[in-house]
Amino acid sequence: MADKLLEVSGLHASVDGKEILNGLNLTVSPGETHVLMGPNGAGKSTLGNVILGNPEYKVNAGKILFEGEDITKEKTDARARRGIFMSFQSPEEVPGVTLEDFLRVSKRAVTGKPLKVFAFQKQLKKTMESLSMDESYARRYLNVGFSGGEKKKAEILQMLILQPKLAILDETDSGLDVDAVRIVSEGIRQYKNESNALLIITHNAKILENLKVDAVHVLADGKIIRTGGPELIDEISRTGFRPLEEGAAQ
Amino acid sequence: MMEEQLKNINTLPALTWNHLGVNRAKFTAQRPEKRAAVPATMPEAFAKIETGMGKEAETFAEQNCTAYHVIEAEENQEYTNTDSLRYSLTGGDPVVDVTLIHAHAGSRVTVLQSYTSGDDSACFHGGLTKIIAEKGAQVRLVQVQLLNSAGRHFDDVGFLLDDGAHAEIIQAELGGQCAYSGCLALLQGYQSSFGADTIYLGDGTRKLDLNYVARHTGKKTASEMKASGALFGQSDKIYRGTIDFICGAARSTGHETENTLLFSPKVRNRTVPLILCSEEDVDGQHAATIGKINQERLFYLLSRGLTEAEAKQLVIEAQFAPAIAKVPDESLQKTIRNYLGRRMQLDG
Repeated sequence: MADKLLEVSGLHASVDGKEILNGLNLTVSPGETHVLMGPNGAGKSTLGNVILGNPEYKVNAGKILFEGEDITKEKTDARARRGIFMSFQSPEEVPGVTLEDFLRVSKRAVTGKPLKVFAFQKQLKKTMESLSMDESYARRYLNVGFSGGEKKKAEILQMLILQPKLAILDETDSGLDVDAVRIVSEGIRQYKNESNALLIITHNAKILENLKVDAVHVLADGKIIRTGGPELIDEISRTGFRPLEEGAAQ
Repeated sequence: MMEEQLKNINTLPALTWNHLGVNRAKFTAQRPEKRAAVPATMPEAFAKIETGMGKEAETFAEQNCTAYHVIEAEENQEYTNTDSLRYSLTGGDPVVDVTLIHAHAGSRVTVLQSYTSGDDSACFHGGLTKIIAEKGAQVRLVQVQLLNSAGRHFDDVGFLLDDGAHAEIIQAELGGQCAYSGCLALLQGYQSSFGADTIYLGDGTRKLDLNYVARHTGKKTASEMKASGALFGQSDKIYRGTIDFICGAARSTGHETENTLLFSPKVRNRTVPLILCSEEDVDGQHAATIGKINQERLFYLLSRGLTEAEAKQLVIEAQFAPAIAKVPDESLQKTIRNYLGRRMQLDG
């Protein structure tokens, strides 16, 4: 096992000609849970999109290594097959493709192996139960007519079925009620083990309650201005981001 | 090989500016050397049925027929034919099939016609299908065209619907170098209804020319025409969809929609929705959605490990799924999906 799963160094990235990431460095090792916090517009979602190779974003400088290999110029699907996953803040609706069929196609794509149908169905049923998702959602078109909470649960369901090496959760807890946050948080706990890693983009400490957090990063103006342990979450809850931003500016 | 120029087919029922190039189409048909034994004249009940491609294509098919079928579904009986009207075409052996379907009162009829290539050679198919749906009859005609990229194909269809009859046509125009088809449904019976569900795929330099007409003459008649397609490469497509409310077709409704995905800046896509009203008390609607695949949706699919070709195939299959589900043979459904997969690999 590589001792470093993800290494982002000196990353500059822009969208529509506007630079969003401004020399960002981040290293995540297997077994770790990293939390990324920061004010709105700091570049948190941009980082997730750039790690996954969204062609809307342009990398101007820097490198992204995954398990020691340079993936900076690799296509999104190749990165996904390496084991990078992102839970989207606003998951896309795909009419005509059921959630179950999509999971089946995706699972086959990321593993590169034919699926064992009965084992897959058993795993799907069990995982949906654990997320308190009604079985009927598997037969519904992907995210079409799903509530905000069901869409987020469907993202966590995909993560649990696909078992990526690195899961980036982009504000998975936003817009969820207390019960849904608890269920999603439990799903994340189920996923986590010693060989995979999490990068959680959040504004809310609630989703982190069941998790052992290894590092908290504060992102502002496109770079990480402070890294600390879980105690940094409490500090941010008390004082907000401004003192940290001001401290970084001095 | 003898050829014949069809100069006036798929004519738009109400002509527009000539420079738009959509008023009519031309097509080069191949005459077969061997012809089937057919009656000198078409049975009178069928002879009067108009077709979507028009008289020239109809006459060519009648005069050059290589396969002739008459299907009679007795009153209140069920009739299904999903096996015997499958054609595997090869170069130098043109197929021109004429099929007459008479669904007597209260009968329920399902007919499948499919056209595939037996080899890589440039084959030719011309087809004429006429359908009478008597009082209360229900007819489903499914036509699947999966010719190779050198094939030439035309398919001319006409329906005549009596009181309370319902007919639908499911057409998959997915292959060939040239794929021309036309369908006209005359809804003359009270409360008769007609549905058309068309899927088409344009790739390479394929030329697609489609002409659908729902002509309402009976009261309280209803038509629903849906077309869904994907265009790649330098393909060129014209879709004409006409709802024609004739005076007397009071309280009739007609809806038409087209949904086209464009995958190349070099495609030529022309859509001509037309609603003609000589009757005031009707409801006619049309809608068209034409555009590129949503990039955010594509990124979402790629982020789950699908290649771009697989993602496009998934989106197209999803768009085509309702029509494919109506093909009354699961193995042919699978063949269609595999065919689409191969096309996506070539164009993806």
